[in-house]
Parts: sequence; structure tokens; C-alpha cells
Amino acid sequence: MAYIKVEVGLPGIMGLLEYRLDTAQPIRELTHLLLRGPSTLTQGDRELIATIVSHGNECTFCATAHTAAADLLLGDEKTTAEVKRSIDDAPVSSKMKALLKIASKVRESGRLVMDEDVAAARKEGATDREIHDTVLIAALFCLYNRYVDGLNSWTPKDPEFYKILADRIVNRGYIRPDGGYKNLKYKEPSE
Amino acid sequence: MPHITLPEGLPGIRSLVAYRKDTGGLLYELAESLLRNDSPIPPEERELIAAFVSNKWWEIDHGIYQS
Repeated sequence: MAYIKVEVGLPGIMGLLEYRLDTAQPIRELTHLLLRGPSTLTQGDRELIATIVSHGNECTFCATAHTAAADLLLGDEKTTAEVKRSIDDAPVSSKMKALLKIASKVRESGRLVMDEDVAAARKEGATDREIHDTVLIAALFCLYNRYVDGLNSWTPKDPEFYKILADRIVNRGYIRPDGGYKNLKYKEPSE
Repeated sequence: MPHITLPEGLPGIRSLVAYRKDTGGLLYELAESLLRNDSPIPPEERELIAAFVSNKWWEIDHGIYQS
């Protein structure tokens, strides 16, 4: 149960974004631009960054939602599972490994990112823009993770919910649907 | 030295906002809403929250921080 009163039936970030629309709008637009806008990183790569950060922050709602989105975009469930286990051994490019390591450091503290980390990413072909966007996506998901857990947002247990949510954020993105989430309200199946 | 090449002469977050204006503009918009728009918490107290959260490393650099 969330610590503040949010609209019934809206779990995780959804209830919080509907709670305050003026702050939600730039957060949504920023997310849509960074994760769905033009980039030399694929949408799957960018969802992987969101996943590794949310997983590291132990934010169950965000980690589950973005794992499902990355799985859908990448076409398998193995990559996210392996990345969470070990970035070095995961089936992603050397450039993505270096960027995911930078994202993991940003998650803990921006001050942990060393020249060597950035040099390693550049050696694998990462551009300034890719390094910039990796850091900003990691920072943005720290915001989300702390926002969701700091207010103890409702985190559904039903995996089906996250599949529906992933389909939505993959196919429609992060912009607020007209009329909010009326069509996406969720009721946890009784156990 | 910044890890990436940023516009010169601008410190901290301002250089990053100038580097990528589309994402930077949205960050400023969010900050304006949260820190300056109407709120039962006065702006100075909201800045105090921001300063407190940002502070730890400054204290470590200056030998003040104790965990």
C-alpha cells in the first residue's frame, strides 16, 4: 500500500504519475525521448540499462516491468537474466558491457565512474552521446526507483500484469494516454 | 575534466543541459515544477532538501563527513 493516497487500481509508478500531472509530464517526456527517441543505441539496449539499474536498486516494480519490456524488444528472456547475473558473461556486445558497467556505477554514485570506465567504453566504439545517454538513463531510473519505493507504491505479484505493461511501453511508449489509465486499471487476482 | 566533450565555460549541470538541450530542457522543467511552483513547502525548504541530498560528497572531500 502506497504511503500516500493514489488512484485505486494504479500500481507502481502509474499511480504516482497520475497523482501529480505537472511533474509527471516532463518525467514522461524525458523517458520517452531517452528510451524511444532517435539514438544509435537500440531500444532494447536502452531498456537493458533501465533494467540493470532498477535491478541493482532492488526496485521490484521497475525491475520487473523493464525486464519484461527488454525481453519483448530483444526477443528473448535470456539476455536480461544473464546481464543481471554477470555483465561480463552476458550475451551482449562489448560496447554494451562497458556501458552497462558505467550505468551500474552511476546507480551507486556518479563519483564512482572513472576515466578508465569511459576509456573502456570508447575503446569498444561508444560515442560521447551514447555515454551521455547511458549516464542520464541510469540517473533517471534511480529517480524512478526511489520515487516508487520511497512512497511504497503497490507492486503487483502477477507476472501477467507486467506483460501487459511491457506491451504498452514497447508499443506505445511513455507518453500519457488520453484520459490517463482508465483502460489499464488492474486488480490483483485473489490468492 | 568531464568524461565527454561539453560546451566550454559552463559549470556542472548547465554544461550537460547545453550539451543535450532536449533532455536538459525537460530536467529544468521538472526542477521548476518541483522547486519553484506553488507548494505547501516554501522554496527555501525545498532547496534545503536538494542541498542536503547533494551534500555527502562535498563533506567527504572536505574531510567533514562521518558515516
